[in-house]
Amino acid sequence: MKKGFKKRGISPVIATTLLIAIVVIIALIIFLWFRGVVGDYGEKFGKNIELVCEEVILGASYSGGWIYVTNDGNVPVFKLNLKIESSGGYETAELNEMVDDWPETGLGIGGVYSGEIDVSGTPDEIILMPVLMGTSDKGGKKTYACDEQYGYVIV
Amino acid sequence: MKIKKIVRRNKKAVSPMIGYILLISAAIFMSVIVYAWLKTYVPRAALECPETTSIFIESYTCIPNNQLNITIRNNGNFNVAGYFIRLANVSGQELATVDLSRRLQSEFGGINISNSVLFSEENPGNSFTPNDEITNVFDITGTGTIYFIELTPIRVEEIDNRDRTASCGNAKIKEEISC
Repeated sequence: MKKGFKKRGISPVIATTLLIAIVVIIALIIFLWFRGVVGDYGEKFGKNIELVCEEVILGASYSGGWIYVTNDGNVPVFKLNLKIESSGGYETAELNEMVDDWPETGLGIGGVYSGEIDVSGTPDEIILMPVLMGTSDKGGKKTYACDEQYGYVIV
Repeated sequence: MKIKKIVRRNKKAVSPMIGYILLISAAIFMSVIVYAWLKTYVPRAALECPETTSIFIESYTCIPNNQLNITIRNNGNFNVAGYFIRLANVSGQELATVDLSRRLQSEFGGINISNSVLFSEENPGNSFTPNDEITNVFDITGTGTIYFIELTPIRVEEIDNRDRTASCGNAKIKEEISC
């Protein structure tokens, strides 16, 4: 009787430990899954970088193979993506890869850029889409390409 | 038998408590994560200038390929700290993309900070009050023909207890000049 009594006395401790361990493991799995579903959202100025795309104000024009860009807003633009549409379809490119003198730190507030780009054929439409630099939730730097809706049609 | 009964009662009393603690801590843990994520989606005030911020070029004198004197007036309702100034030197160009701020001759007034011109060296804040007037001088040697210049006022705005420079893009002006 005494032996049996002692055994029964230990089991709640083991059960509790097991329970806690299982809950911690499950919570960890759910957390990792949740992060995977949500994705590594970037932040800029303390808010989601997607929202910052709305605040970008650029002046942009294209003439004679030259592209002119001014940053008139208060959001620094790290890079610019181009969507070049022609009758055969469309292609996307990064402006910094098409030119040699794109500023390394991008276009800061009040920044300006002009450069010649080589666009094959006659494009029907060229859309400039800003790429922003933010911080990832892990603390590092992260770039975020704004959607086409935040783009600037220059042709 | 009596002892057994007491032990069983104790067992039953402990497990729901642990269950509650685990449940509550799991709920708190999850809500903290969701809160931190959702918080980033809450729109916050963007850095921008008041609507009636405005400056304009009252007059200018130009010595081609030498010097450009610009008289600027604050015709808005708010103080201004400085401005971005760019010129266009290609015919047909729609946007001015040649930065002129680095060519400021500060001995005649103003100070060049980064790619901007501030009105006052002593007071880098919003020192240019409504109806104030100032003449800044720029060296335009080698710029070629100037077709137009663009000015964008700058204000210092306080965001989250920090002073930040705000470009007043909505108050940008374009002045066609022949120089």
